[in-house]
Amino acid sequence: MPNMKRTILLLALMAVMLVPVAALAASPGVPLPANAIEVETWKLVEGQWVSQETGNIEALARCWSSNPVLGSCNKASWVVTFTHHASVAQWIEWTLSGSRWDWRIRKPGTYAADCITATLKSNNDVAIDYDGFADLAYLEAGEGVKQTIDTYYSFGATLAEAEANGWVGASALNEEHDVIDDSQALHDGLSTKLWNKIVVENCNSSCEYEDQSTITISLTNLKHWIDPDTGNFKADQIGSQPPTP
Amino acid sequence: MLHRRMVLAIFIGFLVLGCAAPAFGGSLTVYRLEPSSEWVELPPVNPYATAVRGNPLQGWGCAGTVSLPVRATATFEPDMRRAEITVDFIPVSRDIRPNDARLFIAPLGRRLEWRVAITVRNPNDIAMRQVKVRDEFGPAFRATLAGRPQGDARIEGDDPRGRLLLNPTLVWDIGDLAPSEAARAEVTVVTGRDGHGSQHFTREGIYSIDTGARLTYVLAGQSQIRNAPPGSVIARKDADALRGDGAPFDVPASPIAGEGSPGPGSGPAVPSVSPIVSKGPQVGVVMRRVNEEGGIGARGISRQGGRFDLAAVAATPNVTEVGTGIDQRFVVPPGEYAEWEVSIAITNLAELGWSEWTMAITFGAELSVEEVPGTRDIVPPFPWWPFDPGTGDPLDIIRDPTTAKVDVRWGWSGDFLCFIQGTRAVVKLKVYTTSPTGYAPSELDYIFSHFMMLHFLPYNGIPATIRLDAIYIRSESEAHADIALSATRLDWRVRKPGTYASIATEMTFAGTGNLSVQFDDFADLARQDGGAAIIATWYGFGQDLGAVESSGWIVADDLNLDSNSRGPIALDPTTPTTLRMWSKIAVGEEDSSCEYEDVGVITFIVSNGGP
Repeated sequence: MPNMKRTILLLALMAVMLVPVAALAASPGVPLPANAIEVETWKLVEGQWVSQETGNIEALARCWSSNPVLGSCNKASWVVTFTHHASVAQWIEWTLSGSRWDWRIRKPGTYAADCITATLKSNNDVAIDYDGFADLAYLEAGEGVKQTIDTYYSFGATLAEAEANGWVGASALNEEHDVIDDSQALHDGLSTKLWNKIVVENCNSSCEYEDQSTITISLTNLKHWIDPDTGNFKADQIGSQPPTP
Repeated sequence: MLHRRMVLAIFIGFLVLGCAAPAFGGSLTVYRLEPSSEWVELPPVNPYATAVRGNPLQGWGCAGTVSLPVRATATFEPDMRRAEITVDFIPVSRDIRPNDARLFIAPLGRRLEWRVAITVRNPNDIAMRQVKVRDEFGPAFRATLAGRPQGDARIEGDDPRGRLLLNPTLVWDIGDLAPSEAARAEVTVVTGRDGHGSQHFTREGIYSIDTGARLTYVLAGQSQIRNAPPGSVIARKDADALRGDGAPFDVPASPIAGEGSPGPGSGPAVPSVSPIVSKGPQVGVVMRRVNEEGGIGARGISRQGGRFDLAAVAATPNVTEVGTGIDQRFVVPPGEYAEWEVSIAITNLAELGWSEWTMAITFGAELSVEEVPGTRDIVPPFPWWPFDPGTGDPLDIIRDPTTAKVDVRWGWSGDFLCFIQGTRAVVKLKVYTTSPTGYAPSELDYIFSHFMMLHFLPYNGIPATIRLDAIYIRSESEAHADIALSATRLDWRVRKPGTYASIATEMTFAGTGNLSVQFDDFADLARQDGGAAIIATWYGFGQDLGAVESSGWIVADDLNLDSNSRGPIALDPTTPTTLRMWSKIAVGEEDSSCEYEDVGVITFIVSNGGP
């Protein structure tokens, strides 16, 4: 069962497709030279160059030039070193086909459903944390014989696959912190169906049961020049410094 | 020994045949006794010996005896030039940059190490006896012997702790060297410690690695001397950089900690000028003077005739040189004063002593010439040689009233024992433009020096003359460029995949002559953490993005192709020319979040106008 927990947390149904890019520590970015000056940039949109204008914190890319040189010389060969640097921020695209499951049960029994389709796409490692997962709980305090409905999760394209992959108890999810490694599959986009299984027993009184939980998806390579709250450029790009290791 | 036997045989044969000699002179057939004890007839032209008969006699008489005067001479003069000593200076420290085999450039503040390999070979047919090598290293260095060479080798005069400024000297007694035999010694030379204990140069200057190895030996009973050229190193703050005005390494000729006083004739100290240095991280700008061989110009031209050598070295920074070999000539900007120091050396090589010689040089009409006081000297090959050659006649420096050219003559005469093999006569001249305004611009070359000849008379009475090729001066404005780059670093910050473009740098040029722009090491931006991913990168040139799109983007790698060089751009001193360089990057979803970078090199080459 512990193996089961890990696999579901990692969306490892795609594991056979994973091709790790590199197990490398990603840099938070380098500071701009003090004399850097932002220059106008253009983005190619459907064959047309569209200006992004300078100072635009919502721009998708910005550019700074720096370190000008000049000199005067007689009949000589000048050698100028030109540095071209790009700091690419981590981005992520994810979808959940739903964030709420509603069961309606008429009789005790064990039931399963492919409640949610999840996709995840990013250009670096992605961390996933779970919090508040638990068996569905009786909503009216002090009533009922058994106040929870046992709840499990699994994954797979079909129920048979979900069965084969095994079910993990809801509360066990909260103990996990897992990372989906950077890989070509992650760049292309991972996708799976999440299955939910509940066991309704005779001792469960008729009532409303519920659990509210949180899935936290985190970027692991946040550039120092990105506003972590908005994902936009920080207002002060020159002064922003990478964190001290 | 074979030579001696052979000559003796010829001598006897000549005596025997003397009376019967035909009534005409001519060459005699010469035989050589081979090691196999076989006599081999030598052709008329051979490397061993020749014999000539002369003074035929004839007569008739009835007397019982006839006295016939016969004179036989034999001269044994092996080809001493084949004796070899080679000294290889092999840099060990990475910071040492060879300029040529014996001149290096190195930065301050670095421990420098060379391996000096000295090889002695005997290419003669007879043994070299009492073979010795002595090589004195500069006081700025420490020397230690590496390995155990043949014979007795040691370093004398070195301070083991490296704190005293001494002249470590290799004293190597090889013994005898059989024909074709060789011996080799290696010495490790490192920068010595200064007064603060630092084992590196702290001041710019020219440091002598050694004074030139001296090989002495005895061949066929005659003492011989061979000298190897010395090695030197130029220490610079920035080993890449030259002066900001483009002049070459004009380090102080006067020395530096650890070096002795400059010798006679050393040029005046020229204050060094700080080179342009980089203003920011990862950016460096250096100006590098290159001559046509790609080396760093020494601003000097030499003519070497073996027995008669001349070296003219610029003493003012406005003098440069172009061309190679006999086409090498000085270039002086019009209207500017220029000055040179000319070193003249007359050496008796492997010949009989000389009883007289005369040297003559004619300098151009625009020049004036003065003898550098105290530089005229004649040096015997041995300090103990008892026959003093003196310093020769005073120099005659006369301006021809018709041509205005300056004739310089120097002569010497005396007993041939005073100018034996290895004797060397030297003098230095100060040569400068007579007018403070130097030369007028001209498409034709001016004469620096010509009609350079040495006439000498060896003891055998057969005079000889050596002529050197003329040296010319070109007076033209040097190509000059003012170059400015708005940026040498470009930083992209990319939030999302896409194709983006921006101006990379704006280059502005002004000056005279032509300018070519070449690109090297440009490539797609590569992950800095070692991953294999790249960001596809292009460059373009144009006034605006539309112009770049029209002319086409150049894949970064292709920018390095010669066909994508820019220029030649005709420079104008008053109207700057602008070249705008653009960059385009394509960040795909496959590109991980990371730092990507490429460091390219842009080389600007300024040249004179015209084809």
